Amino acid sequence: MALRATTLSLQKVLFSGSFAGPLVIRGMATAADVEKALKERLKASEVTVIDTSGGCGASFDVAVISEAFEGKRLLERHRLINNALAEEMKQIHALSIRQCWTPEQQKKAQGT
Amino acid sequence: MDKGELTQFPAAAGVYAVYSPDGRCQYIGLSRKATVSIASHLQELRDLTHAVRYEVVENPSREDLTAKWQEWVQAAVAENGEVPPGNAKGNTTWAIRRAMAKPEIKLTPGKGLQDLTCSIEDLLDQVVKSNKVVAFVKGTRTQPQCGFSHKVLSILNEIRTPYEVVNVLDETYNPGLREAIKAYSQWPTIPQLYIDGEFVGGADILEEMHTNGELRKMLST
Repeated sequence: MALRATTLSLQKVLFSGSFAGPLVIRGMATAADVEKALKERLKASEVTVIDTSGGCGASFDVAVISEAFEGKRLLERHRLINNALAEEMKQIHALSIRQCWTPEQQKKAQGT
Repeated sequence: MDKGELTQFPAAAGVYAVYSPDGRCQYIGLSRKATVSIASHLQELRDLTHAVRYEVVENPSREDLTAKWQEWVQAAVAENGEVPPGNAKGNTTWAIRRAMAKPEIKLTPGKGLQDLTCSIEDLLDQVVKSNKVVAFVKGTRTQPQCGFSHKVLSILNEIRTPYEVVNVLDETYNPGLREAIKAYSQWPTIPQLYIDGEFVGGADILEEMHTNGELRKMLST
């Protein structure tokens, strides 16, 4: 009888109060999220995202083709990509930028 | 042997033997990456580093590498009647690289933030501007704790340029640096490399700059 009473008391304490709203669970970013963000925010003509996630969390390799890179040095191009993914980066463990070319650079590369 | 011949060696783990011009085996070593170790010997012991023989050990544990190294040493003893001079007890000639490894820069005396007379950001700025090459990494020069940090350090070692390291994970001596460096550079990730007081980039940028020769050119100016 005593044990039962203790259990009931704990249950009452655990379930007191209420949630103010729906419970939102933040998940990891997905390859689709990354691709969508880059296409929309950089007006990218092509985006390739490879999910390399492991035990440490969300991890991606990306390649981006965009006119937004025209006239910009490599560091500036990487900054554009990082900024485009500012929100997603909060959920990403590691991001590797494998390629950030203009369409013209892509054409030249494909032509060689 | 010259540095151009280093490209023949794989960037892989294994055991190697170094021979002097007279064909005598001088040293048997083991390495996680052949080109880095052999480049170091070539830099520091050029006269003795005439030829190198190497065997890759696929996906080795430390025990696997050690076992293979012992096998090679035993073979050398069987052939020459003695261990290579560089492996003799007490001989540290071929360990010069390890002995010369610089300690990491520490931003504070290790007493936390409360006793500091200036901010961690100011200390960070001082380090960046008072050293030609500074790498902010996760871990230390000899024990990087993430693949990207290892990549940057490997590139710098391969180029053979002097550089400083700051460990952003060291909360004792560099409290708050892990986030401060991101705000400082407006760059969201670590590692970060600075040359002549300017932020150059992270691992991907450095890899590309190394591949196209731009990084070496930047460091030589």
